[in-house]
Amino acid sequence: MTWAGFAQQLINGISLGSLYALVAIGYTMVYGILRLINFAHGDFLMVAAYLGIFGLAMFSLPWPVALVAALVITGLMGALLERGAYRPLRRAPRLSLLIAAIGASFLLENLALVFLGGRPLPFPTPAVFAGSFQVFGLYIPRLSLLIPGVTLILLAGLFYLVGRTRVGMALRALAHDGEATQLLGINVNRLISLTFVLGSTLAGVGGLLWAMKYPQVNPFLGVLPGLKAFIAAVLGGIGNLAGAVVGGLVLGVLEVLLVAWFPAWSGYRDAFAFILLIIVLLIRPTGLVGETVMEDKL
Amino acid sequence: MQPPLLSIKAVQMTFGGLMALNNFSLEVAAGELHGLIGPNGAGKTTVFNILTGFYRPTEGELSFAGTALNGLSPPAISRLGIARTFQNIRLFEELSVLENVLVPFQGRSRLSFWQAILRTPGFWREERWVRDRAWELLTRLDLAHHAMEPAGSLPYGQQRRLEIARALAAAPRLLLLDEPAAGLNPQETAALMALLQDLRRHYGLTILLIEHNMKFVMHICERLTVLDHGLIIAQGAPAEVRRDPRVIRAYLGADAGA
Amino acid sequence: MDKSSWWHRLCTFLSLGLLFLLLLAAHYWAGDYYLRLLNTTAVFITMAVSYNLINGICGQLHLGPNAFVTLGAYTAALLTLTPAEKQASFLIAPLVWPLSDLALPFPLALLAGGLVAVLFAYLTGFPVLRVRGDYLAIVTLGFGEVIRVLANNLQTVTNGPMGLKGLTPYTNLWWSWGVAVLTVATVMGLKKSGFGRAMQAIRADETAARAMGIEPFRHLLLAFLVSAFFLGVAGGLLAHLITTISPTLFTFFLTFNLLIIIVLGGLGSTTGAILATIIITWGNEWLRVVEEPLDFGTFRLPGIPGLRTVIFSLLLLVLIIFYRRGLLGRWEFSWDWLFRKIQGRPDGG
Repeated sequence: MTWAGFAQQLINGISLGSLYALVAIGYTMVYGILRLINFAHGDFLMVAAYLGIFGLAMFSLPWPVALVAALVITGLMGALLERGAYRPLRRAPRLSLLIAAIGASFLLENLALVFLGGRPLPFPTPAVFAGSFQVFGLYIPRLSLLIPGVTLILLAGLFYLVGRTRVGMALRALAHDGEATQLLGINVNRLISLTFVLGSTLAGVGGLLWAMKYPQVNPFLGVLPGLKAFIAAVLGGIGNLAGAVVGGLVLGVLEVLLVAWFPAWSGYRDAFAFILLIIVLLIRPTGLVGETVMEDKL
Repeated sequence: MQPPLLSIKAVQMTFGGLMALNNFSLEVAAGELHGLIGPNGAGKTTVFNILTGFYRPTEGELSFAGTALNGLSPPAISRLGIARTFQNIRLFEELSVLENVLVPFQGRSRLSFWQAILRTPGFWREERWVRDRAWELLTRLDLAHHAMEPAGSLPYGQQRRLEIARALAAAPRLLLLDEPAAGLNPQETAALMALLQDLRRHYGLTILLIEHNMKFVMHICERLTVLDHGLIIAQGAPAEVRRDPRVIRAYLGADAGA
Repeated sequence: MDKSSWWHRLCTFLSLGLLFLLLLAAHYWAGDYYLRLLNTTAVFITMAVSYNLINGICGQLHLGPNAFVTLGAYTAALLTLTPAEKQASFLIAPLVWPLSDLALPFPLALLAGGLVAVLFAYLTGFPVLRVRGDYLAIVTLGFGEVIRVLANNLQTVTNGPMGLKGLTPYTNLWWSWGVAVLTVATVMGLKKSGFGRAMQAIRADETAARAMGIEPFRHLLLAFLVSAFFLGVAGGLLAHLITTISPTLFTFFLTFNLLIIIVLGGLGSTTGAILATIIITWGNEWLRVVEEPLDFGTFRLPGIPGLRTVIFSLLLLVLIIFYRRGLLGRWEFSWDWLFRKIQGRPDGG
């Protein structure tokens, strides 16, 4: 592979990895606080993408309005999901919570199928986001720079929120020890709702950017990116924000490079993330963070 | 003199830099009833967790009836003949009382999957034997009339007894009891003392127990080990230990100085 | 053997005889539609009961039963197709030797399907059973995905996205219900043995079970293998029931359906899994109406694809939130229970 070809693929990989990272953040935040794999999280990509289509194509809103509206609704739907399906199960066995998440995921996907049909809809990417330019003989789509850029800004904002504000402190306390936080008189329910709003909004951003990158929107759009983002979160050490970003980037770049280097294997790219996960778990059975599973509550 | 049944030599246990046990040594002779006491957080349950293989000691040697315990898994240690109860009762709550007592037999069963599935005569023979033993234990611990109830529905005192019955089903030579009298009323505590003496005689048990109830400990134990902040501060007969100034200080804390 | 267990055996034999007579009646009088539904029911009983062994009895959330069904289906299908048929359908790339020349009778092909699933379960058991909880769920889900991707891409083995067509419909009432009965007998027998008690102890409290001498890995692996075998055989039956298989048949959606069945029946109850399978497979048939176009003569109502799944996912959510025990909780049918009911005595214990 030439240097230019490699650079080109690397840029593609970083842009894909940034999308994984955006989605992985939501998984990791929810897992950190509720110890739940929010299976429905990936479906918020799809929700945001459809909402984007409504705003842009059906109501012909100016693009900033349409996209922000899509994100706001996606974020609220995330909170609604927690309220309706997960909150009643907070004291139930973890298995039940996970099953509820699977049910919620299928519900979202099939509601979309019922109301919007299975035929993929084209995403009307606003002109500002389309097009490409050439640098050093490299052909770079504008989105390939935009995606990592947006990701970087949002993550900076999120890290500021979690690391430097009072709300962020409360969030970290909650992730560390839920019961103690309750004792401190912090409104745990509101914090959890906030987590879901933040996570779903980020997934929504991921969904809108995904739909611009691959402008065919269907009800099952979020399934694979969601699963891969979850794997990215595990690779980076679930519950760890920076880890989720690193995991997302690593997974995105490896996946793109693998296909670039071994074109014959391109059919297997969707299995790659899982094989990576299995290898990681073989080496570190509790994931990269290595929290003890068996001996915690003796 | 006979070698001790259990011997712990210079065990050290640290959790992320925190010293939970420091230079802990203990020998328990066969047939002895030994008490492990000390203030909360002294490291008593850590000793049990190390003995049963749930924690790997940072340093030190453990041996039981001539076999080294270091590196063995909890099930392997159980099969060697060490059984335990838990401080915060950990029964198989949804299983019936009888099933709770049946479970440990599977740990030692030599029956193959095929024998079990094909219901061979060997399977029925073992099943009958195991059930007889389980009923015997339930009867001895006065739980037989609750045999078919879910373990989680028993009142607290009976749950404590069921934990002992379940531990005995593992056919131990050494029984580790973690606060067996916690939460029991005086009558129940007295009954427990009688029960332990009876079990010990009948099954030839060696018992190591952790307990906060001093009356109970002083009355029933032949020897005591007192732990404070991971260190042994006294070891010996109850009467001696009771007079040890360091023990008095550890227990009474600031009051002793006042 | 005491008198009561002799009675139990007699009752079991009599009810098996009754099932035989019912199937015989169906064999002669039922139309194609009902025959197919009866076969589907039996295959789903096999799948649900063996899936429940892991999720309900051992308490581990396994999300990859579709992997084992796929393996069994492809293995059995590749073995019953004749070399000539295989040559005709593998258009893009020829099938690898020795599969290209191999042809086995249906029963042996089913067995082979089960055994291939067991082999895969054995190999994956080591990474899978080292983790618990959410990790186990996601790893098993991963295996399901990996197998689907393989089925899509291993052109020289699976014929890729085109799948395998024109299988002989060997699956009949005797095979499907025979396997279902065998599965139920095995899982029930396992549950009522030391192995099953150990598995339930692991579900209830793994730490306590280990302290009592139970080796979790050994028991979970056993459950994993038994479950894989029957899922594989069920895959073979399914393949020879619908006669055309392709990777799209075995997605996570299949796992989702099995999950609904065992949650509805009550996690851990084999009786519940059977009951729920009947409700869901027949309910699914009745609900087919909502997804098909309705013709009222003057106007046509278009069908709504996905509506059944919406209904089922709502059902799953409602069950898990409000009625976590499902229909039967962990209760199992027993002759003792029936005799007591008949004699009007209250449930003892």
